[in-house]
Amino acid sequence: MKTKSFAQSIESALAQAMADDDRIIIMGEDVQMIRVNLFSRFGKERVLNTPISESAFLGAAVSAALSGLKPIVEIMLVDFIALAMDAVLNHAAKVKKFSGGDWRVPLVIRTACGGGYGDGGQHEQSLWGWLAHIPGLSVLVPSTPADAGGLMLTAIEHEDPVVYFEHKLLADYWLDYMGGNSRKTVTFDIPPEGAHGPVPNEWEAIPMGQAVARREGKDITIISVAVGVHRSIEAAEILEKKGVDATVIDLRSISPLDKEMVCESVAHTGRLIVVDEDYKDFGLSGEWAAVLSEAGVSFKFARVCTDDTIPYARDLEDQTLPNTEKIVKSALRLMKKTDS
Amino acid sequence: MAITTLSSSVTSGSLIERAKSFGMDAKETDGADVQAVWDAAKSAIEHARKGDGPSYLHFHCRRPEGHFLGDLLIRIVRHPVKELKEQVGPLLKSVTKKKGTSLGERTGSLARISSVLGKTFKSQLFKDKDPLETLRQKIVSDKERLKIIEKEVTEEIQAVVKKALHMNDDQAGRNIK
Repeated sequence: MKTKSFAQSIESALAQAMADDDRIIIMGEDVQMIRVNLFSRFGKERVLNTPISESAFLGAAVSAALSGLKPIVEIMLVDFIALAMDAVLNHAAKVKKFSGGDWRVPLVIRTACGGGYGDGGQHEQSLWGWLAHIPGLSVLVPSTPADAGGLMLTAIEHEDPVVYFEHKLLADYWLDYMGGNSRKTVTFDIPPEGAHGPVPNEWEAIPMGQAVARREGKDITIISVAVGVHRSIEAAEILEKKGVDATVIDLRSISPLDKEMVCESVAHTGRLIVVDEDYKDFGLSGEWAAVLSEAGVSFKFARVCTDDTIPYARDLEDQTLPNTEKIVKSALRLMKKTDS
Repeated sequence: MAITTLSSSVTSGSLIERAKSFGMDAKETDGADVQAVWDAAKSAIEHARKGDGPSYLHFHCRRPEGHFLGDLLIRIVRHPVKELKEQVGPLLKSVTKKKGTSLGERTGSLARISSVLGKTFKSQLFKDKDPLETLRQKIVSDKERLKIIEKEVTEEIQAVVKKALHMNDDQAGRNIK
């Protein structure tokens, strides 16, 4: 099996899809340079530079999708999607229902997210819970190179709007742009298995809304997405040494959620920790508490999330974001064990 | 504009002409020339205070570094061999792949990439567009004045650095739990 980086996997899946379907176009700020390999192969009619005006070019992408194209529109950082929310919330997400299914918006919004590299609270948010709140949008968040490529095809093949997230700690080129090694006072904790790993020879779409268990255990279920999955696996390895056997589930999709897999796992372990780099209040973690309660599952619950605005200073940032230590502590508390 | 998208390719007409269409006074000035910026702003402020309405000032400024600290274009220009070594292989592989656009379009894409790199290279050559250097050159004949200004600026910077270095954790907000 071949191996690729997270970013190479996305590009490779995009190249495969663009070669097979000439309706696919890429739009966004500086994409002719950021996606230079795709631009050199597919040309300026299919890789389109836009001005810095998210509301204008995302709105244009919605219209392009309605007119028969399959746009992949890049919002450089998800924080900036706020500028284009009318196109997302009131148009892309609504057209199918308002037209009784006659009109579809096969649009992919590709966007970078997440923190852990010292870039402040207006550049490092996750916001997947905020977007998944909107009916009519699908939200995909890969954590490995294999899923990064597979889920990109899933997003492209879907006939309705999809928000596709790539975490900046996993996509190496983002860290390079943000200063990488030139920032001597900043260190990154990059999960190696998320940044580089085995990939299939040919990309195939992964069924939407299908989570995957990265680790099986009988005592506690930990669920997460993106970098949080790798922090959870690391925590599970520490917990094993303390006599706690944890399941780690990578959700991969936030809308739709794989309720069946998680309910089954939590019914078995009786304990759930949601590790979410998005905000704690009114988000993914609370949603899981509701889903399991509605399903009649009896369980103990904890969450490790981002509680507040993410500070710029790296040490303060580390205190704010979820990390392995917090997950271990939370699990031991649920297991009523002391940390020794 | 974005980093590599020129205003001229995504706007119709010039910004100056657009401002004039609202009946405003409109002027273009070198943003690296502090004295010229001062004069233009002074005249616009006087214009407004006389009750003659707003003015539009368009200052042309150069970015000494990239938009991001690790801007790839700047890195390529500064360390072409090292940076291009990683970029050229995948680029050549991609541009020669079977399925894709026409040969002409592909050549056009490569020309566009070269043009962006060329523009970045050119912008990096013009170090004389540094506002501090421009001002120093302008007042170099008045050595005494230049000395006073340099001293004031240095003292101001040193005071800030000193304050920051002596800031305790509480003042820096690092006691947040």
